[in-house]
Amino acid sequence: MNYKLWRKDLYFAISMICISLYLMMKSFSYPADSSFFPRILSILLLALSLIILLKILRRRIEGGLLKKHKEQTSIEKFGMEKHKSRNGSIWKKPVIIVFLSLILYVGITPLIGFFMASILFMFVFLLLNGVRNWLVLLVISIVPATILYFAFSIFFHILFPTGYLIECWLG
Amino acid sequence: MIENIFYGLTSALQPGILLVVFIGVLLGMIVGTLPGLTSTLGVAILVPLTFVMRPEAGLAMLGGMYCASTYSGAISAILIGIPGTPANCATLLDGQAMTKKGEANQALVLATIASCIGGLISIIPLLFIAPALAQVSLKFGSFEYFLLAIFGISIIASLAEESLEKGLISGIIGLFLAIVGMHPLTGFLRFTYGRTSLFDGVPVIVGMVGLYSIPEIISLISKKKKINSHLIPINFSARITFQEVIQGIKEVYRQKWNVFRSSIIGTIVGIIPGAGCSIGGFVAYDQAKRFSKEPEKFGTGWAEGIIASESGNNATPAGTLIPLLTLGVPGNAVSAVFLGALIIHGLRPGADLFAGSANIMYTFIMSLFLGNLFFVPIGLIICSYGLKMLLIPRAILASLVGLLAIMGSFTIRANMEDVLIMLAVGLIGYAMVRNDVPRAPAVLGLVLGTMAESELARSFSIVRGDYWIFITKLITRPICLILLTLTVFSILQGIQSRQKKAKRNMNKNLS
Repeated sequence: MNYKLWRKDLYFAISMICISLYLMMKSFSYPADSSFFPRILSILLLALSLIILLKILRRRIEGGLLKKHKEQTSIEKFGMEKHKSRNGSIWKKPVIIVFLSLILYVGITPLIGFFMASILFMFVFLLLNGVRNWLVLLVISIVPATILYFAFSIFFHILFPTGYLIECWLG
Repeated sequence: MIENIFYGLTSALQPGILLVVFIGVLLGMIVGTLPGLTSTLGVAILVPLTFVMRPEAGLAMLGGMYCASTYSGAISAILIGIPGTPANCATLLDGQAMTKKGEANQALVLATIASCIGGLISIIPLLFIAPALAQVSLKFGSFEYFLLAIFGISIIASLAEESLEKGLISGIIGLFLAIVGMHPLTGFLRFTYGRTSLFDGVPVIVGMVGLYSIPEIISLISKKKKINSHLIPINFSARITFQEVIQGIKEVYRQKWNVFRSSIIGTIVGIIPGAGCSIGGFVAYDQAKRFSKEPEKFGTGWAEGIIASESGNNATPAGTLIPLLTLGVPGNAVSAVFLGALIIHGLRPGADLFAGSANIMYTFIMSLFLGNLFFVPIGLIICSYGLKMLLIPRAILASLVGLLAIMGSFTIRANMEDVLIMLAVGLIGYAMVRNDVPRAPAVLGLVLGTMAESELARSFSIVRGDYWIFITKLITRPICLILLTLTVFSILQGIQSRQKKAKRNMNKNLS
């Protein structure tokens, strides 16, 4: 475990303990013969989270050995600057973008159909990520969605939802 | 027998068969590379197209699709970090690490060559000793399946590079995702929160696409630079050169025991009905790690890992065909579709298949050799184009990956709610990546969870809830004993290697 980020691991351990308690509560509320597996797993989860917590606390008590070795942690993976506090909220901008775009996508598909929703999704997603070149926006929104849509519907015979408004328009 | 093999060979080398195998491989490459589309879907789509063909041509095309789709998922696993099919999850562990080191070309070449050799090796048992091997598949009952699932889960311990606890937590997350839905025997709904789309549980593909694509999309749009410049080494050529191919072949030859062992493992896993290509790849990877002289390098972009995983998962298709062709018992979902194809073409699967239609069968098996060979040049060409994807600006790549993920997860059940399930699992995956929790154990848990729970429930109902008889059966049935021994060895060796690593770290710090 990375000693510089012990706080992150601490929050992780505490959240896992809460999650495992919630899962335990739910598993034990199900009848016994249908919940053998979830019960055992939630107990194991609790045990593992407690072990992680104890390991962290033990290392802190043993005198905060701040090792200087650098490991490839998720800081490098997500490319954020090292001086930024890693204890930031999990609700960072990219997460919100992805979360909202997908929810809106699923919400709007019943209205305008899968095809139009895909094009709209690509358009909005590119805009939200700072793409401003109109040609790129148009081409990337329309071309891949069209190719994939027709490849999937013609070749794989998959019926995509058409959307209420489109159906009204088509009569 | 030898005449049959020669007949099959000459028959398979006809232009008609060559053409359909080529088409099958080409389509299989597309199906495999797109995350969310699996071999099962690809083969199922092709079956109607084979109506108009002769049986051996139809089967040859399906075989080409099967082999190619199991391989080509490695391309998307290596390049964009999303496995194209569950079989390639283990390839992702080292493949993506190699891409991050700027060695994407090598990774792709290794995956291609290893898949080809692994597939070729696995056809030998199919050709010569299939009937004997198939008898083993009949001996698998609920107890054996339960222990097989437990053995698979014990592999999680070796997939967790750093923190064993985090690896186990990841495995448990995967198992919980598999538990969602109806209990296999009682039908009681767990963790569905009233949503009908969760009644059947989280589909494996949706979970896998979510776990890997959402964090990848978030990662792609988080970085400030426009292009993946850190992935491109100084002399990056978005082409695979002949030189690199030769190097790859040499590397695979250097690791011939790895390839051989992984292929055998893949074939054996395929013979077991219910265990598919993903488990074949994982077990091969795990065993390669145990037998390796440098196990700590696995996961950092180490050729052994990619070679083991790819030869393992490409050896599984032939393994799954062994019980299918000799007994009519499909080894996994894809071979179940093959079963349908055999029936449609008027062939009778079962003990008489080879007796009654030896010509067709031997032609088909020989065409599998062709299938495994064809995807090498086609694959390398597609890889060259795929490498250009690393040059696409991040935002555009992220949106394309997003579109593929959406379409892939929708396609499984033609249900828009699966996209939401994918998003939910994806956010869990993102939380996992941020906390350095590995995701491969979660995929393994998701794949094996259903089997573990249902076979446990079934075994208990066989012994009518009597714990002692249950344990007795686990210890006395021969295959159970083998699996139990393997599991115990696996766990003990895992603990031992961790102790060795801890001791080595301690010595390093003290010196």
